[in-house]
Amino acid sequence: MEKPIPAFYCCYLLRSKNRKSYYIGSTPNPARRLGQHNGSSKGGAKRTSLQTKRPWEMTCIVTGFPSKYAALQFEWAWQNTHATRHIDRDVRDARVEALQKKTKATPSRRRRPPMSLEARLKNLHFLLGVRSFSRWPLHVRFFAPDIFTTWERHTAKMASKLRASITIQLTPADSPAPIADPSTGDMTVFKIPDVIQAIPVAYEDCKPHVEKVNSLVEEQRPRSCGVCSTSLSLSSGLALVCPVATCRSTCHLHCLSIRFLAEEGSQDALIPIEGTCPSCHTPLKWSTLMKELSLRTRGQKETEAMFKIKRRRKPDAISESDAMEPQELGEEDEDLDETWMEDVDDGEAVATT
Amino acid sequence: MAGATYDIVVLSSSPPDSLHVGPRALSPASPLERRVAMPASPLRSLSPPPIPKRAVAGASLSGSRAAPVPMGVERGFATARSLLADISINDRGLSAIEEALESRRVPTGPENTIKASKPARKRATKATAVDEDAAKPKAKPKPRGRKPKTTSAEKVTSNASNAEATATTSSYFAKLPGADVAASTREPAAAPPEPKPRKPRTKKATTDNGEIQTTIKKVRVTKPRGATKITKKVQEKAAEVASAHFRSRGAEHHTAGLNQPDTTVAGGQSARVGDDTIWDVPLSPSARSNGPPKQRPPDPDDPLDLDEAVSRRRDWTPPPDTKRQEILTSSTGKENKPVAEKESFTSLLSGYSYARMETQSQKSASETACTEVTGAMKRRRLELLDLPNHQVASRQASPEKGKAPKKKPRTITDLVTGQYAPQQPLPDSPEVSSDFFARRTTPVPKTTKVSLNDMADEDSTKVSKKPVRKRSTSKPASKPGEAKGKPKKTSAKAAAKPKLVAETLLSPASALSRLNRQDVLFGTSSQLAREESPTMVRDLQNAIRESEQDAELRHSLASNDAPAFAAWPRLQRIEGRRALWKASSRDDEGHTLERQSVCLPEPDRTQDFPLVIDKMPEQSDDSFLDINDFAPPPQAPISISSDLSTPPSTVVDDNAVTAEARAAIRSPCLDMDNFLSCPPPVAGSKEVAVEGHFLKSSPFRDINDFPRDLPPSNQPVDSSFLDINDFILSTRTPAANTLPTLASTGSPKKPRDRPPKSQSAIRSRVPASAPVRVPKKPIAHAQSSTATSPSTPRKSQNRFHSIEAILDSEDDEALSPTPPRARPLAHSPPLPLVFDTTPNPAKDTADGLVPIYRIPETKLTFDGIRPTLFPALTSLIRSLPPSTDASKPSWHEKILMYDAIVAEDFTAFLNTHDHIHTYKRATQKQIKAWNKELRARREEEMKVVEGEGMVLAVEKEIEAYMVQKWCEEMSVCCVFKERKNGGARKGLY
Repeated sequence: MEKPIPAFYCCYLLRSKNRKSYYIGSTPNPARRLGQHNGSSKGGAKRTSLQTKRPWEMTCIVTGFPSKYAALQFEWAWQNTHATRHIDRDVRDARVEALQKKTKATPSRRRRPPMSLEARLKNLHFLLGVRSFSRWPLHVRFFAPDIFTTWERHTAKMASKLRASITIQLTPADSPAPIADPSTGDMTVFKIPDVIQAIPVAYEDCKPHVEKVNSLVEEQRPRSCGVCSTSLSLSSGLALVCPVATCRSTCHLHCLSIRFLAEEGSQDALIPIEGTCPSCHTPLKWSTLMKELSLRTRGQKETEAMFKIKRRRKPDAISESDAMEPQELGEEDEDLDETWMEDVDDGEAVATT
Repeated sequence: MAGATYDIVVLSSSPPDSLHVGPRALSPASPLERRVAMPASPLRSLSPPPIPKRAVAGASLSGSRAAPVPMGVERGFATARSLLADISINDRGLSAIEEALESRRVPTGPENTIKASKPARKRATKATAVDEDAAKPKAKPKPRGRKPKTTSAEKVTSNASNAEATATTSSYFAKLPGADVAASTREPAAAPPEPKPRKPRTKKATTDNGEIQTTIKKVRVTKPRGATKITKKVQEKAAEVASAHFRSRGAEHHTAGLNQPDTTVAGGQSARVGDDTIWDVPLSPSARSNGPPKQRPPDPDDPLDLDEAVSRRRDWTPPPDTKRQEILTSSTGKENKPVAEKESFTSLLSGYSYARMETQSQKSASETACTEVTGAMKRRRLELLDLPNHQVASRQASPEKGKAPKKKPRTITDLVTGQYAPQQPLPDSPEVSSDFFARRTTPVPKTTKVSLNDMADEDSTKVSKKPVRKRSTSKPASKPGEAKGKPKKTSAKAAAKPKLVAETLLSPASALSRLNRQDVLFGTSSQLAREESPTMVRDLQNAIRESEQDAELRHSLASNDAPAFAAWPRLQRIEGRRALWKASSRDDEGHTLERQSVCLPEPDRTQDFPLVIDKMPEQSDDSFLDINDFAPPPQAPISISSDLSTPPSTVVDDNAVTAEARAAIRSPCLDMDNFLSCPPPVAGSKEVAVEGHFLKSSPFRDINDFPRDLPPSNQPVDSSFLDINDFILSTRTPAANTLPTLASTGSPKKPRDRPPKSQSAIRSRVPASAPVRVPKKPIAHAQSSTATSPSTPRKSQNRFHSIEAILDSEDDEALSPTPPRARPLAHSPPLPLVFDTTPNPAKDTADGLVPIYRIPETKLTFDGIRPTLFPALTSLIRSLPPSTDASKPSWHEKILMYDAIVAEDFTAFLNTHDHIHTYKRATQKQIKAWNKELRARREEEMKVVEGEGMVLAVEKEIEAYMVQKWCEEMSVCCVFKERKNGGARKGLY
């Protein structure tokens, strides 16, 4: 059984506080992952293990990846923007030269060019607009104000603008401050910023939605598609339910996708990004509907866990995100070694020939 | 001697500490230069020579405080060793030097004592510093010093003849140049030599109990020093010394009958001794100790050095390279002996020496101890190695020697091959013994030489003997162990390979047969190693064969069914296949077999039978040819009989006996050898008493059995091999030719019980060494035993069936063609079917009329077809009907749900739709076929004109990378299941 859309998956850009080095990674749990990078827990990437580069600061994250694979693909593309198959080769090479202002005739195309913060941000901007990722429900969130300003400054010059549905927001996070490890007294443990700690990494966002759908399913009333008006089965078919609590509209997946695409005006696309509920006309994100649908069709375990933990935790008013933490721990962080590009290039070369 | 004289001079001059230190420091560095250049060496040699040479052993020198001095000493010694190697020179020189030293020492005693006290202090400080600084570096300089020492030794001899004063003067001169920096040449020169001797002495004293011995050793050391100096000055003197050495060697044990120079030297020695005891023990002892340790260490190693040295002397101008090498080797070898000597000296000296000296001695002792341990270990190893390698020339103890013995045959193949060149193991043991003796002798003379040098020959001899004994003990212990081990190994090998002996006894014809059998032995070497009686195996095989014969006979008697006979040979051949090597030879055999099979008519089966029975492969082959052509039935029984070693018995008795024998054999077989056991059971299964086979067997026994008896293991294997070969041939041939007949006759008769047996047997055969077989075999035996008890023609037929089953298994394992399988399984009809099936597939391939399309050339490329392909894909996806099962979404729904699309799966799905395709250029064959079709339809042929940009193409499935591109275009997350050259992750990106 395939897994449902993950509650949270992000790619992030780390910046070393001690040196001007950067790291791009992906994780379903940025707070935990940042702790790993900073050595407070095991599992940090080797590239971030150098003590002199710690603490690492999570400057920004790209969120909304609909699957682990999507996040990994984006991570790799971001790490190896000069080699990713998601950018046409000619464009890629041109960008590499442009980003490498001191070009030396590009000795070997496969070699990763030195990446400055500016180049990384530009790459991120470019990738967000690339066909492969342009319709993914991605959003960008900055934690470092200085980097956000850099982003703003550079992206303003970019000819192509990101689609409006990609939200770029800044939530300033305190710079990582060393905390004395109570056990050892070392100053090698760094506090995870509260903003990052507060990132919801569980399905709590869609819990009301799931609850609503469950209630609708329990009604066992015959329903019809809000688009095509034909009969529809919430329990057996792939039906979508408006997340708005008061809206009782249900639609066929197929029908609503066509409607949304029509609303977008992107007839050539397959996957809609957003649209309005045919009944309540509430703007809806396609990803929201899909997350609920995937939870309903494939996330039996996750749904159970979500409610189970909630019941248990109810007395203590602890945030559900905390309750969901254990489940998330099971997921592994995928770290792409930055030397992967050679391998992928091979595959890409095959694909493009 | 010279060293003592030098010491005296230095004392008179009262060299400052700084000077002493300076020369030491200089000495290590200088030795390198000096080594290269002969003249420089003598000067430096004076100070360092004695200690360094012995110290060369390595750790001891470095450890000793006087490391720098020892360096020089060693140099002198090394050269001295080479000189000594020539022989007489050393003895004489040592003795003469000692005497001269004693005589001189007496008068010079007071001076020495005063001077010695100063240098001793200096030495102590220097020694400590030096020890710390130049443990390793010093070691290097020491060897350098040795060379000069050799020269010095020569000079010393000459000096001894001349006069004590000359020696002293010479020593001064030598020292002066060595200590160039020092204002007072005498002082620096004296200082370096003194520290060196003192340190060695202390060490030696601790080790050696006898004072006299220590003194003797010291004397020797001193002599080389002086000799080095003298040699530098006058080479002629060295030549004389050399001659003297030779003389002394001729009479190695010169007790009192030393030449005049010796007496003079003795006087000098006595003087020195007095000095040591009376005045500054540390100083004098150090000098003395330097002398003796140097000499003694060289002694053990001397044999090695001597050889080289002799050559050098003959050449008279030793090349620098050779000297260095010699030094190194000598140092390693010498370490043990010199250390012990040094310890004895040190102990003696310590008693006389001041507290400082004691401290030094303790330090040195500790250092020496460490060095000694290491040295001892090294020596033992070296010696052990040397003994086996260098049979006669034990002197040249080098790692090579050790290597050679190690390399000697340890593997089975080596052992086997070694038999063909059997003498090697034997020579090893004798060589070792000879080496031992040679080495012992060599060390002894050295020790004796030392004693000669010393005034008290007995003491020296004792001392020398002690070290020798130690050496001998260590070496013998190790050597004997090795030697014993080697001989044991060889003996074991010989025992394991009884064939060798048998071969020698056998006549040429029999030897040839045995050689062939020996090949078989290779495969069975493991069995031989088990020590279980090969006779058991033979017996088992014989019993099996007998039983087979019996069964055959019964069959023939009861019902003359050709198939029965054919089945038997098959079984035997199969057994033979078990041997690994036969597999290699199968091809050739198979060819012959095929020919035979063609020739063979149905009656041939009986003929085949004898062939199978034949144990010898060659014979069997020949017999096969003959049999096939001539069809001689008697041969088969004969061959069988040869295999059978059991006594003849009546038919009835045979059955019972054979059954018993089988049971007995089987049990051992199971336990003993899997390989062997496997064939026997098969034979055992064929228990049928036949009168004729006994008769036949008897003649065979005479010929084949006897030789086989000698190599029991070989025999069974050979027999099995032969059988195997024969079986293969027979099986194949009958399969092709006689299968139908067999099927008709055999099908009803063949019981199912046996086939499993045969299979089991086959299994065991193929792997030969596989452990799995063992369990199977017992089962087979049990089955066979059960089957055997009711020996009847039918049962025999059953056996045949079992054989067929075996063939099946074999086929899987080996090359054998399908026909054999077909037989067993079947009965006539299946066989032809099998043959028919094979050709069929070939026929199928031809067809395939592929429609040809005339398309623009650009559409052949992905980029060209992309504009049309992608919309087609998109529309196809959109048109997919929504699924009614939430758990099985359509591809469209998967995409909508942000599923990661697996490119391979998606591509496979898309390729099920006819309108999703790409093009590839059509082949001429396809075009022709299509045009032919078009012509048949009376349509216009497809043609393409060059330059039109159109091509004839055929449809082609889309590929995963195209789907991936489409996914990228549609912002669909697409992953590859797995990349060929990478992990699954690669596809993700």
